[in-house]
Amino acid sequence: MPGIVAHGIGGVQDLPVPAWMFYWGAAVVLVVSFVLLGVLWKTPLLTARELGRSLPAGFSRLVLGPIRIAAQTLSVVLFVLVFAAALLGDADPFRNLAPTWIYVVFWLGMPALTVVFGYVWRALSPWRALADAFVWLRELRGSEARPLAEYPARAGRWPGAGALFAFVALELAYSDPASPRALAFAIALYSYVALFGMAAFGRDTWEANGEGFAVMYRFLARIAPLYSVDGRIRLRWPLTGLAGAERAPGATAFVAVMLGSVLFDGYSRTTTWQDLVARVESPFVVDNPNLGELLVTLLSVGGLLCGIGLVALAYESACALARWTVNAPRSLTGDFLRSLVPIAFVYMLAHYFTLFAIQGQFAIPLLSDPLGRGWNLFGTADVTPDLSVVSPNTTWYVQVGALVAGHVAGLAVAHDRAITVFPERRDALRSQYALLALMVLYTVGGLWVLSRG
Amino acid sequence: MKAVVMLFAVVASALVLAGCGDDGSSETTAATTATAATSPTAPTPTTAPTPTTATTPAVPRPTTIRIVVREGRPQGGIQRPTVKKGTKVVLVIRADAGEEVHLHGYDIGRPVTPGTPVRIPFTAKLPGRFELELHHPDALLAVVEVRP
Repeated sequence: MPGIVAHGIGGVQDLPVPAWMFYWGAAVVLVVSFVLLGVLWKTPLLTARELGRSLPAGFSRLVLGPIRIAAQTLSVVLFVLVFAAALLGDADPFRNLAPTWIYVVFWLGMPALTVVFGYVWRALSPWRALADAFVWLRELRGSEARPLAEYPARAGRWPGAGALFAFVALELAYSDPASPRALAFAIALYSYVALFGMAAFGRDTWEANGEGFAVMYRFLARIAPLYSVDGRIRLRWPLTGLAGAERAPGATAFVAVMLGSVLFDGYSRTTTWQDLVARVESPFVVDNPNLGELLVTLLSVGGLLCGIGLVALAYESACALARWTVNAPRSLTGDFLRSLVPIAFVYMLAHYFTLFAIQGQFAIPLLSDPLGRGWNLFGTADVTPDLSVVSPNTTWYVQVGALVAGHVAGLAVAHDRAITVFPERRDALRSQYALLALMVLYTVGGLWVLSRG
Repeated sequence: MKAVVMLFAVVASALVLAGCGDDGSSETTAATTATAATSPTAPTPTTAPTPTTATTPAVPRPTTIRIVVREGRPQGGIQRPTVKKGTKVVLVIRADAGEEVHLHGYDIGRPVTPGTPVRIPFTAKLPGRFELELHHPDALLAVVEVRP
């Protein structure tokens, strides 16, 4: 596989957003922002609506009981299949189910599923399913399954941020991310850490802090209109789950990994970055390709860290500035963090929806022949994907539209939080200038990366 | 005061929406015509008309993109030729190393014989950006941009 593979796998790359669309998008963002500042509500709206209303008890029991167990069983079967494909299947990434399944169906499909249906990872995580089965078996034999230790509160979301970083580094920085064998190793390592963490600190505690994907889907599920509490599924307005603060240590770092990695993925496809990589690698291509690939991997890890660092620095600075403007007694970073969640989601949507639409189709034939052995399990091995399902025009409108919509949602959430925190309306508004600037920066920055050739 | 702000909001959004619609369409057409006009001549300096072999008079001549690979890297850096959708393209790669050249997306691979040019003919039906790569040793040779 080549030295440069953006976003793990995939052959077609989006054409850059045309310049005129970039300018219009940026202009709309600015106008919408200032208009919003003036007309937004004066009393908090989200918190009051966060609870929503219960769905019928029978429906909740069905979904959270038998349907959940069926989904968990299916997820373990799929997990075993994908792991077997990665470990034993064809070494060609395009003839093996694992790379397409992991980087496209799972990595891009799960966030979309989560913002619509809520924290479905509870029923779809194979690690949670294995842990649940373990606890169930122990309880069946009359013995209790208790966590081995108390989770140290000051570790917060840092282990989760580390886990997510490890995954995006494999996807975006490692020189051979789609190699089935590399993926088999990654799956084994991640599974070990996930299962160990759940056994050590408890299933829910580890999912809230250390299992990177779970932490991410918990953030994203706050956008969703569905959630469950005390055995009941509840319906609420979308985004209302983003009310409230996020004070756990490492939470900012986690969201910065979500945003910064997508930003780097976009940037790594630009001419500037490709030429830089070629310059670093080319002296070694013939004589010492391994050294060349190692250097490129290190360079990319550096770029990834820079992207994440820039996102975090911008957020911390904006919060510090907001605090200074209104003389707030304590740091505001925890208060406004959730307003970045919609932006993180639209970054993913804008960057990856064509990859999902195009490369995702390859999962259909691959499911019938997951190991590349010429099987035809479901009779779909000969399905030929239609690579022109989305036209460049559609792509551009979706990209710009998603970024602008995420920007507006982020602003609204931050505004709602500000009027909750500051009783004085004047303070609430003044605290928003820095955050408005930050979100304009994120959105225009995201647009800029998409429009770069 | 509130009324003024609301009025401003409505007017501004109306302007924005109207502006998007109008300029959106007109500029797209402008952009398309521009590409149409430039694309046959636009590809990199190394581009030249195909040699007469295998050209029938009725069919428009394909766009030829030549790439020379020396010591595993493309001469003159990574090329970024732009072609219009529907164009017939022939990539001609002369490489002194490597086992295979591969055009992503269109998914065409050809074995490499050092010293002999490899030809990859294809019709640019699919818009997007596509990487042309050399394998073993691995190097990015060109990014072919197919515009709608």
